[in-house]
Amino acid sequence: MGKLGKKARKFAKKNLQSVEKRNRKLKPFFKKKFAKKNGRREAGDKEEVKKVEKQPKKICPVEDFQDIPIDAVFGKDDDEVLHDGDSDSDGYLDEDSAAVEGAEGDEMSVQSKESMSELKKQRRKLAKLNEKLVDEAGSDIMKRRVLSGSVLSTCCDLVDEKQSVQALIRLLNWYRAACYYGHEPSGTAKPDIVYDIEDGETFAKVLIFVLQKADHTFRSILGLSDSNIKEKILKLKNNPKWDSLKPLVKSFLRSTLHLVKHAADSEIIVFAVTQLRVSIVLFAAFPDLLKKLIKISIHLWVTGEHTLSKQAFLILKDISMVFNSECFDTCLVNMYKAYLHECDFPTANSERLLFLRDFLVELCSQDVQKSYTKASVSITQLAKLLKMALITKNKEAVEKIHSGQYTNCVDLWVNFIAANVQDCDLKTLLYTIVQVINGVAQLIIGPRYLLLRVKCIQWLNHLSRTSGIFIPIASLVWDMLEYKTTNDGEKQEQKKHDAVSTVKLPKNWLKSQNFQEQCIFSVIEVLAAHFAQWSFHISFPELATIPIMRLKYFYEKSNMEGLKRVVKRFIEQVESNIEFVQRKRDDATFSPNDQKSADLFMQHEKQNTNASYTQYYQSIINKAPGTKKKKK
Amino acid sequence: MGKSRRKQKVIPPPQLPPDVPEEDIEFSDEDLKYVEQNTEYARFVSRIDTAAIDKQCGGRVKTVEDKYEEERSKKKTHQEEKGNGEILVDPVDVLPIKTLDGKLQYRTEAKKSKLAEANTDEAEADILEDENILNKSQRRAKAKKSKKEAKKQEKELPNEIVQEEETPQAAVLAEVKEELSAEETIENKQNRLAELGMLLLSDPEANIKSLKEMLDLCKDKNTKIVKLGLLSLLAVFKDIIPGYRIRLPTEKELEMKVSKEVKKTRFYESTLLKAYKSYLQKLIILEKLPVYNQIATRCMCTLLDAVPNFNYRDNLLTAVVGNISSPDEVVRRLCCSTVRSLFSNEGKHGGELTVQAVRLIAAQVKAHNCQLHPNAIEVFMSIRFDEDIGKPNKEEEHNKKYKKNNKRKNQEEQNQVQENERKKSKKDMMSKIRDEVSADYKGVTYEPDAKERRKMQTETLSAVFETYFRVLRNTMYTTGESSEENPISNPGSFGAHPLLAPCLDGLAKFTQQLDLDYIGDLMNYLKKLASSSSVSNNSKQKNARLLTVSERLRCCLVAFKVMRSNLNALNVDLQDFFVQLYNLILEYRPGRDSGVVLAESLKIMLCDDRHQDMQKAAAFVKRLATFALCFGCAESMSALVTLKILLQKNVKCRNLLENDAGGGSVSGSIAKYQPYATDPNLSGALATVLWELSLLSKHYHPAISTMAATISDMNTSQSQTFLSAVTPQQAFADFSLVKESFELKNESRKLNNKRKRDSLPEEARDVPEMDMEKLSKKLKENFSILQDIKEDERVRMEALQSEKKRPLKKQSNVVKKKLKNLTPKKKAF
Repeated sequence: MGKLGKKARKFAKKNLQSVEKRNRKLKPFFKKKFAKKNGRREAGDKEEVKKVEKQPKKICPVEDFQDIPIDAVFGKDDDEVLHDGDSDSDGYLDEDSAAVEGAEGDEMSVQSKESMSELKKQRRKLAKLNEKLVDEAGSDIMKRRVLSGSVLSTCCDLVDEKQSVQALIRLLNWYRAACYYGHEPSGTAKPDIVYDIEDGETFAKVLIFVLQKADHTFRSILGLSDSNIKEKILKLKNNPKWDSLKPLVKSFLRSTLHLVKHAADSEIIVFAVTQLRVSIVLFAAFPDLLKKLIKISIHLWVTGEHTLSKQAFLILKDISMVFNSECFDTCLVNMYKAYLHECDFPTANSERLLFLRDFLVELCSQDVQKSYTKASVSITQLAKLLKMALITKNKEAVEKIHSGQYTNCVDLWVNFIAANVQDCDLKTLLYTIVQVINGVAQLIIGPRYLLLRVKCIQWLNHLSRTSGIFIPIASLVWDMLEYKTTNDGEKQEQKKHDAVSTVKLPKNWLKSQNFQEQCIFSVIEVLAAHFAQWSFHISFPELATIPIMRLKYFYEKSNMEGLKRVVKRFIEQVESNIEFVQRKRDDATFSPNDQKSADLFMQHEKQNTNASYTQYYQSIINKAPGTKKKKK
Repeated sequence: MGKSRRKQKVIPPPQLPPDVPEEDIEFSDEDLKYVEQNTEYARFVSRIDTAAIDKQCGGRVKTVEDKYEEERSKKKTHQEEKGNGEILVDPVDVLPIKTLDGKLQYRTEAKKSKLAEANTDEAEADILEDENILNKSQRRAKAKKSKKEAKKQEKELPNEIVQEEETPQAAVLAEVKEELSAEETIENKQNRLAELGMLLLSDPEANIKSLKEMLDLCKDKNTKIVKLGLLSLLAVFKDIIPGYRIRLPTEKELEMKVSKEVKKTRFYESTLLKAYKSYLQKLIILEKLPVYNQIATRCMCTLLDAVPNFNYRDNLLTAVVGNISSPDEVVRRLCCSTVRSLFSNEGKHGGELTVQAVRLIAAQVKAHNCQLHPNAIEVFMSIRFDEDIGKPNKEEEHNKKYKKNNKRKNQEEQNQVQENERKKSKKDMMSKIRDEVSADYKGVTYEPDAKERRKMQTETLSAVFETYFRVLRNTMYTTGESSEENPISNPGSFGAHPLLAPCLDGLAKFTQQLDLDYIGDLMNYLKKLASSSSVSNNSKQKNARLLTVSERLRCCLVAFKVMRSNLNALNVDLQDFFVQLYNLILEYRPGRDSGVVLAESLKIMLCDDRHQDMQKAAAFVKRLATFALCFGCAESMSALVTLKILLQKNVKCRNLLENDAGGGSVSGSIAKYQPYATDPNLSGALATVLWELSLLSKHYHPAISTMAATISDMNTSQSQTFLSAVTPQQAFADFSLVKESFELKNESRKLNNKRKRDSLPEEARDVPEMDMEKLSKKLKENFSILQDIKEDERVRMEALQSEKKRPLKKQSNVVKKKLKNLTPKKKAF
């Protein structure tokens, strides 16, 4: 048997080997195949200008959910779109610069005929000077063109006053050299001509001048007003001047992009970006550069500090508004992805995320119709993940729900809906997102997820407030009243825990008294927000019945004086509210089925915010850290 | 091809007269020629263990003859002694054509009786069946199969390899000893186990002694071997244990002279029994060790499930029930499913084991003071009580009817029943033949008569209810007053009242069987339990011991179910339970309590109640409406459905929908509504208006807002036909989030909001103020940095260029070394 076993093993090994081999061969094949498939599908989708739709539809088989992070939805086309811009290498204005050089003398003379004699002389001198310089450097075949301050100022004047195309060309070449300064090893791009810059002064001047004046100059040459109407630019394609100017514009834009991309100092970038924003329309002629611009702007938007981020966003916003809807899609999708990617960092700064989120919401609100489809796709995805977790309860799936990505995504769409629900019919979106939030709240039980739960309730309150739809939250609050503390935990340092991304609290935190206080304060905060909304509704007494009962129960049981006082005050205020509504209600003459009258009920009182409870609610809401930010 | 043809010829077809002695079989020339040509095929003949064959053949052949004679005389109602009972299978029908390869066939032909063959085949068929049926034994079966294959291969290979291996081993033992690793020994042992197992399976009677060796192997120190041994033995036992119980002969019987076969059978049986006994002992010992716990339990469970009729089943049952609340999930599940299958397949053991198991569980519950895993009691749900057993006259018919009913229920049962019937008919025939034999048979068979069955069922019932009542009492004891006395008693690893939930479920199920005398007590218990922790309860400290809301709701539910099933025969006041429900509605909390139970209580206590007090109905209507305001859509929906049903039934309550000035005519004794009242009759709900509906119609869930609107219009719309078919439970299930499809209807509708694209220019104000000087300074700095970098780069470039002429000195060490090696060459350049 022993021998047999061996033999069998051998045999198996042999067999397995072949199987293994085959597997080895097949695996990459399959992978590739699928990858290709995916890619192809994506490409196809892209043609249909429905990039976002890919996301859930692809992932329909339930099992796949877990493998797919929320943001990976857009995974591949990201690269596709954004790398396109890099494909064409950019150089100096080839022909133009050649023309400039070859005909420099003629050019000068031509120019001199036209220009004032004074200037002409100057130019000549300068040209000579230049040539000298060139000769000096010409020892090895390379021609060096060094920009000195005086040459520059002459050029600037020429461009400024005469809108001289030739001077502009020169200037742009210098500009390009300045933008690429230090990034292009001398001698690689064009061995025969090397633009060099004399000193820092000139460097600064050329950059600032071109950035400030280029757009204006282009426009005046083309005979355009300062408006941003894209159609006009497109019409220019028939304009004879355009043909000559096109390379110049391209060079300018390209150099600026390079500057923006590679500059080390944020202020420089901000300046460049701000100036670039004026000439956004010019990108219409250069789709590749546009793509590049989008990519850079998104990068800056996500990573840049406050002003820079804002400027980058403004560029994106302009792009999405000026150009066609495809651009809007690209911007939105990529920003969405970048945002979610940012959420994934455990160290993500919550304030910064809010900042980014608000921008994103603003962008979405630009075109609700388009954003609606994106939002519905994304929310469906969220819902599917949630459903998966609800059904399987498996740890991974639940973990996914806790992730910063998930919560921030919900946060984003909640804010989007809240911002637009009054102007547009977003009922279905609203309904779904409310169900998703309810599901999240239902899925996560336990004191460690207190913040997420509070966040869920705040979302619901926010949605309810903005939409005027009733969303019950009371039942989500009960748990928080009963999170027990052992009382022995010493007071711990109060940390800021209002971040959306801090989903899970540290365990040791739960033992502290501080934690329970936090719980109760959150309960009162969210209940206050809830009650404040309906405080003048005819059903208010009934709405408050059960919560008040629970709070009273808590009041009886609790032995923490500080908390008891807070709770008591809340109960008193709500009870006075109840009493007030009840008194008013007794005079009402309509029945519950009379919805119109019910809506009108106490509208007058609502305007008047003198009631003590109203002020009380308001003070609580204002005190709460989460809502304060929202107000801002 | 040749082989198979030959095979057919060699095997005597079943129709052949069996009384031809083996010696008389004439081999055809072809056969001989074949053997001559393929001598190596016949080599095994030289290795045949003649002694074993002789031993076997002597008895075997005779047995065959006997059997065929018996076959002929069977119709003459001659009853053989029980030893042959198992061989009674008609071989003519059973004998299949062997599909094994020719060699094996040859051998069997030579030494094995047809009977043994039949046995083997049956065993094999069993194995295959098992593989299909028993999920848990699948792994084992697979192992067995692989062993079998290995065995087959071994047979193909001439033994000499083994010999080769062994002889040198003996010769150069000293040298090889060290090299012979432990692994090899283990492998040898494994192979040995497989071999023995195969032998036993192929011919149990001849190899019965191998059982002992297998048992010995199980004493190995290596856990793997022990486990394998246990599993192999399990497989063997499962196959060879006969369908009857073995009674060892008394001394008197031993003294009597008996024929050879009887002796042989006796020997076989006693060996089997002994081996089985020691196997069980081993299992019971090993089960206590954590390493073997799972495997031993699995073995025992499988055995108990497969052969519940065999000897020592009591010991098995005790061991299995002992593990029914094991902390190990796997073990517990195994035990529970085994006990369940015992309960549901009573035909296998005639119900005796049911009684015993129930009693054992009851004893365990008692011993552990109700601190067991819920599964321990949940198994009771699988017991079926047959009410018709009591009527002795119609017993037969009823039984049939009952069984027929059950046939539809499950497939397994059907097989069981068929088997039973077959056996029964056999029994009838035999009893006609000879009373004596039938009495004998009864001793060993497992079909008790009706009286016994009834008795057993009564015992089972009483044990079950004893357990239930014990649990209830225990719960009361721990939650009630006495909890203050021993607050330290730990809640146990299974929660505060682990057995209460299954106990209540069981009570609800078996309420039909409950004696009316006990119902009063039961109701009292339930009442106390349901009210055990009201809001006013001050013993907050012992919160852990208090009943949860769902448990209390369940108590109310069971009370109602008990009453319903007894057709309200008893005059028990259910008012208290309504009060409880009224308050429990408020205490309900989603994540913590089961909404399903709540919905069920709403359905059974409110919707199904026929005549209700108006005051009470109104109170519930109001409370449900309030409830719907605060909870998720599933709860709200079930509450609203109940509310609607209540309003439909109680026309007067619809006054709540109208805001009558002055409170209306029907507002009872209490003029003002008390929202916090604990008694529905004292809430004064009739004085209020259902304002909740107004807010509910703004609910975010479209279904709820529609529902609220429908309800508020109930009074005006006269169509009373719309009796909703939806129950609260249904509503709860439909609207729970798990069911939510989350499908966004992608209607491509136009949103009235067009793109706002034309507001570009004024965005210019967003341009941040730039300090140009600062900027230019920055730019200058930037430039100088860049220049430095550039300069640096240039220097390096030059250095690189010069490096071509002479080796660079400032390199890292490794590179230097390498370069050093290269320097002469480079210099040469």
